[in-house]
Amino acid sequence: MSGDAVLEVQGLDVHFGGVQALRNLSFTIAPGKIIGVMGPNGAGKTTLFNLVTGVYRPSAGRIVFGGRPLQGLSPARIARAGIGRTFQSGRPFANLTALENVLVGLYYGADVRRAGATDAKRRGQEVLDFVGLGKLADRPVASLNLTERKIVELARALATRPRMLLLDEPLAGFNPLELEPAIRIVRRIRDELGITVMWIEHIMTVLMETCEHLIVLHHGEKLAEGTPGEIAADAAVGDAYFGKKGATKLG
Amino acid sequence: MTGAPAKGVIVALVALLLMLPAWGSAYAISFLVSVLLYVALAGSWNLFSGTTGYASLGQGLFFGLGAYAFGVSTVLLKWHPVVGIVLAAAVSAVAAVLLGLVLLTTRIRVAYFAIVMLGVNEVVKTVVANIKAVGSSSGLTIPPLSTNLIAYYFLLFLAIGVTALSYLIKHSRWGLGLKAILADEVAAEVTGVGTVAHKMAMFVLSGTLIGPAGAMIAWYWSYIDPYIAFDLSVSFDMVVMSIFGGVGTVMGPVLGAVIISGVKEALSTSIPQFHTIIFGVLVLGLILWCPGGLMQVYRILHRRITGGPRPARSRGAQ
Amino acid sequence: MDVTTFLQLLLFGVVWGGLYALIATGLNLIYGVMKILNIAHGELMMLGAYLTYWLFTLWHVSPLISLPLAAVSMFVFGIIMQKLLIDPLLRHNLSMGEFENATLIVFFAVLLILQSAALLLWTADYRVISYASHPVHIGPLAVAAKRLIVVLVVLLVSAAMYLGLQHTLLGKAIRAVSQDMTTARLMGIHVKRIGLLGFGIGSALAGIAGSLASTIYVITPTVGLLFTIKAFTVMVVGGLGSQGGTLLAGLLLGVLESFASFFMGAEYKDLSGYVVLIAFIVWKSRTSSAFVSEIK
Repeated sequence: MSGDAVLEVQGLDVHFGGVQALRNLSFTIAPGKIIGVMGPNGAGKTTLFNLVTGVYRPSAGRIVFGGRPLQGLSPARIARAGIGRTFQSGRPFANLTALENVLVGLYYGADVRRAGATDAKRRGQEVLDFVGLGKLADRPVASLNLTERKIVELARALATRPRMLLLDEPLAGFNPLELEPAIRIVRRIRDELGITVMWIEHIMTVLMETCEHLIVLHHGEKLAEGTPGEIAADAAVGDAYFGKKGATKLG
Repeated sequence: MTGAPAKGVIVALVALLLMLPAWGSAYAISFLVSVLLYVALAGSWNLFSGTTGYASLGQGLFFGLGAYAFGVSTVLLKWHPVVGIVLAAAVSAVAAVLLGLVLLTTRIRVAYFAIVMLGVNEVVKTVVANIKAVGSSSGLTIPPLSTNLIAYYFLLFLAIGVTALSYLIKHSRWGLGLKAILADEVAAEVTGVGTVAHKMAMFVLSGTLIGPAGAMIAWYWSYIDPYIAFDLSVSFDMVVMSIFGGVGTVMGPVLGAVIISGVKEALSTSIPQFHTIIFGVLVLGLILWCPGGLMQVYRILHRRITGGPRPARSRGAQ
Repeated sequence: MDVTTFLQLLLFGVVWGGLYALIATGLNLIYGVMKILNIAHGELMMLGAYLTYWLFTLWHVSPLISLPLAAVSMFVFGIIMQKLLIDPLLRHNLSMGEFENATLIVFFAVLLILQSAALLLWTADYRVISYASHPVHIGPLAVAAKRLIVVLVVLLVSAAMYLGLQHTLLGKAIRAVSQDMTTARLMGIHVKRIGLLGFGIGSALAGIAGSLASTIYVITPTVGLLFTIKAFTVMVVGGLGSQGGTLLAGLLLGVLESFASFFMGAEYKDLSGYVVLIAFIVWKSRTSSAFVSEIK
């Protein structure tokens, strides 16, 4: 077991009704970094996140978080242990307000049992302020647009006081003007909050610019791993994405 | 429901009900016993099914279990009736825990859960009808109540208790977790909400409250048999009244129970089948016009009268 | 148990199993195209049964002629129900959960109305038709001709359904909608019309089953719900959407009930079906992903 790894995955396998979604996946995540997860559609990226958060059970392999094995734990326990997560399609609780969404994270994920209601509200407001949605606290999520909803979901995940945050295509659906502010929030999450981030994204330029380390998946296997520079030069990766003809530069 | 006027109305109503026996007729009392029973039952159904979205079509199982627990305790074991009522709660609680462990620890589909509960009700009914010790299909005769007022006050307090509980939970942290589960179970889980614990707790709570109602009614009827104790229409009525009034709301089941009981009573003077038909048509009419039930009607009217914004059409909105 | 008794029980099981499978196919079809669990489905069966009964009793019309009449009239009835009751709901733009709740109530109300109307019009008296009761000898068995007719009709209708679903344009459209409503709509399939037709055909199947049942069973206004639950059992065990599975599951249920009735007494006949249903659902929700709500 590596000394200060936040997350360690060894030999991970998972099957779904005859299809092997992940095969012998292994990697280690160092703390305090933004790690990008790349790969063509169907590579198994979201499946990986589902495994780490306990939504799926692996058929084989180990997942260790901060020295603690995660096998068999319910998603709720894993969330309380310090892993936060957002979904590709943005899944905040549509029947609640933005603040209430954050409060769920606070009460349940961060285990803020002893905080009184006013204290919790204050903390919730702080989280919303951090992501720039402070003014939307009492707005029902159903009345927000896609970008706002996804950021509320991010705030909710932050409210659970995670040590590691799994972001599944957080920028999907954002218009070009909204990208920069969102990327800044993720950087601040790493820099100011010290949270390790694993980031699935299709917009490769973003990953190349913000991530310190990249993992590339293809057909459920780890195709490559390394710094953005290394990955950009990797022919196999270019192959996977563009086929032999277009395998020139990435990013 | 918010605001001082609403609270004032409720307090006045409760006071009225508390004092009614002083001048109410025997007919009024027996009618109210029925209404209060259904307020308690519909409210208890809603405590689980309204908060988790798992519609149970066989919650009446606990009614029957409670009734029989009371029967066994009072008639066979010859214990004091109060013990019978407590036993009813205990038996229902245990049954709910067992059923919950089997059914609610998976992400079973809502429709299947509904039908399984229905099936369990039928299975238990058949099994009980074959147990000679409790009189098989002929059932048991139970020493009657000394006065109907016992049933009246018990059910009144049960109804108030269920409604109050519903309100308290709705406005608590636990209630927030329930709403999260209702909105998106998986998202709730990854946010740290233990969905199994929440579902189990509400299921057991619901069953534990329904059991004593069954026990009291058994005493009130002074007779039980498998067909009236585990009558499917008890389960159905609970569902219909809650949905009619507005699932997931605090006052919805109350309104639904009151109005549907009232309508049934008003119609029962004519041929029984006739009143069921009219009742069915009325229910159809309301649901087709306002699927959110009476509470939705109330909300829409309320906005129209106070000129507020149109209510948001979001899933699971209170 | 001697061979004759065994075969007799098996045959009874097959007769009943076929009927259950037929009703279940109708229920399955409706669920497939509209994603609605029609708990009033059995009531249509009841109506078909009474239609056949009265035509036979009053005007000596052979059930074989009443059968297509029941099919057509229940088809129309089904379409009317859909248009009157489900269309208005669809216009309200409800969430999946709200829609399911609402349809539950709607069909429950229909169940109440139809059952009460039947009670009112025809009383709770047991109705029996005496038709084709002469025994036919197959080897050591003596079976009433009417039971063989039931099996034959069930086979014919099932075959027709299967062929229709596989080879006609309508059938393919129905299967497409059942598998993936959104994609079907995108492919240009008129989903609403398919839903309507599916509802009609499913109801017609219930009518046929009722017509058949009236020849071999006692008819009362309350048979509907009982058969609905059995049909649901068959549907769940056989696999939503699988016609072969439904047929097999129906036969299994029929045979199981037949033997349970013999060994444990008639009261346990229905019970065995429930137990199978519960055990199956519980087992499947722990092992199969199809029985579990989606994770997405």
